[in-house]
Amino acid sequence: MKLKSDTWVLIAILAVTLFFGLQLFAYDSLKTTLVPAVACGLILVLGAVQLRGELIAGATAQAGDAAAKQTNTRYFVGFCWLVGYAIAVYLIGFMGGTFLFLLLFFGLSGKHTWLKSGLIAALGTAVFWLSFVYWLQTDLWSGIVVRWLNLSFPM
Amino acid sequence: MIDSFFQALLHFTNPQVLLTLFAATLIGLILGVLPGVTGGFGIIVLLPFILGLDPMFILPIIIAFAATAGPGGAITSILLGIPGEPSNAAAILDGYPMTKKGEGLRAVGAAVTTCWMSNLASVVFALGMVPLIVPIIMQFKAPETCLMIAVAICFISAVTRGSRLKGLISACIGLLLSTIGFQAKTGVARFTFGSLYLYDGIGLIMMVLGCFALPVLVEMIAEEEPPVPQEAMSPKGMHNYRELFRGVQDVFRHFGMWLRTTIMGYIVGVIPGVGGETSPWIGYAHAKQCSKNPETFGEGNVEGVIGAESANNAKTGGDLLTTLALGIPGSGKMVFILAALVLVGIQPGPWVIMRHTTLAFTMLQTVAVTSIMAAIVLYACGPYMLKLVQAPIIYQFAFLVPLVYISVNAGDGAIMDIFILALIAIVAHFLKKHGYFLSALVMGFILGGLFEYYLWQSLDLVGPTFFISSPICIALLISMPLILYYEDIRDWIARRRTKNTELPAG
Repeated sequence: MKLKSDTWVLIAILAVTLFFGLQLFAYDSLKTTLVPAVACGLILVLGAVQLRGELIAGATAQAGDAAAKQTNTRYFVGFCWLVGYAIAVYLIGFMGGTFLFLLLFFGLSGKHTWLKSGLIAALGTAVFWLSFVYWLQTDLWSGIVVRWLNLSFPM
Repeated sequence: MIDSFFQALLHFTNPQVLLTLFAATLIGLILGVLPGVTGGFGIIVLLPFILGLDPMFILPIIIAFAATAGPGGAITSILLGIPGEPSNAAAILDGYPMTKKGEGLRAVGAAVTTCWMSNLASVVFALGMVPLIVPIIMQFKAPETCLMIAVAICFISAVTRGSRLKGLISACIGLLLSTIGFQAKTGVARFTFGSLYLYDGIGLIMMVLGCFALPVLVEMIAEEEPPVPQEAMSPKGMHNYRELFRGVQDVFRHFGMWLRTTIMGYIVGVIPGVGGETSPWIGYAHAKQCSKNPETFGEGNVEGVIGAESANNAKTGGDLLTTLALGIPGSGKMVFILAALVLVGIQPGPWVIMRHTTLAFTMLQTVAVTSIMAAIVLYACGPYMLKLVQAPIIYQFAFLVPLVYISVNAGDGAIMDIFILALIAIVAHFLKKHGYFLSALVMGFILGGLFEYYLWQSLDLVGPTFFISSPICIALLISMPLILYYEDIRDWIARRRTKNTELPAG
């Protein structure tokens, strides 16, 4: 029987909770373990009831239609942008990462030419720099590469 | 208490405060007009910057976002047939057909008038209820507070759409996540897995942004709606301001219905967890029931707009009162208000209204003040705000993603935060997609620490029988299963009634 994705998510939740629950044996004080134990216990009991219901109902996976698959792909791409931006920021800092993100996002979306995308990215980055670094005096991450190279930018 | 009321009122005599609130109102309206992002989104993005700010300054700004997004959303709903805010969906039923008939501005006039009048009325009702609630809250000690928090979690789990079990599981996941890091009572670090990063636990800001901001942005580009056609951007009769005043007159012509739907909306708002998107539909249904022309509903009857929007806006005062007085948020937006309270150093729970009376009054009065400001803006240039809807979704995504990440980094500056944020967003998306309730999860997370604190205080002071130590405790204890199984009990009673009525006939 091929299980539905709902059931797999529930099983993952139960497994993670069980892992958390087993960690509690490392502590000896009731004051430390009571609330997490109650939370873990409730998740396991309620999750088991839910799982039983789902299995009895015999919910099995249905082949997804093309539109749903397309939407899932768009979600995947969206989350890739989020993770990609985080990596870019980690490497080259907020200002460099933001410029790169905006440039690639607009460039690859096909709505603007690369030149126009570059201009929008530069303008957007400048607005962020003015708002957060210059005006709000926020100390933003300058990027691991910048730190390695020991460069100094007004970040 | 009267002193606090007038002290709060004096707050609005400061021109700087009024100017700030006006700016917040404008932003709230813009967020309301834009489909996709909501007033709640504005609150979430603002949260990282409010740490350490004066609550009397920042909380009214947050309330302004929450109170004015609704009126802004009504414009998009009526003129374009797209709900600016999810709670404006009911206004489309009659508002959009009115636009098609060339009476769009009349519907806007009715909606805007209803918005400020209902908000104002709900604040008056809420202020009137404060003296009634305070004596009950005075009875609250550690055991009652602990049980009240448990009741709040039950409430938010019980109103989950779909599986109630999943609602409860979500709340428990939030509770479990709140226990990561140092425990205040013993100083022992829990679930840190040797990582120094986790010693302080998961930040509330990251949790809120990860659960509500980033998944919404990804949803915007993944489920991209087709662009609004150009001709829809300039509906018939758009610049006929006489129509706008006809809409204002309509509200007074149906004053009785407006008052009833306002009271209904307020009551729904007061009931924790029910508010949100339920009240406008109740208001709409009542307007249809008591109308002389119910057959014209859905074809462009102004009463439908008045009924839906009055109930929608009247819930704000009740919703806020429950959040401040009991610590139970009536809707998703109020969960963010709870988060804001925590970030400015105010413990949410039954004590907020007692310990911070002036602040509570200021927050309630802000609803009234900002809705009047919103009305002035919307009367003057509401239809012109439609131009904002033309802003392509990809621009919103491209500029809001960096804003959210910078917000997190500006909060405490750890670069690891941005990866954890992305991870929370991905997990939150999967949980939401599979029917788990993120508001319950965040509620469990916000209230988890407080629950643990009051639980141990109750156990230390009263002992293991603390949950039956007073009549309020017993009432709260009994209310928990009733809240969770309310729908089952109601269905069971209905089934019995049907059975009893069928038996004699059979």
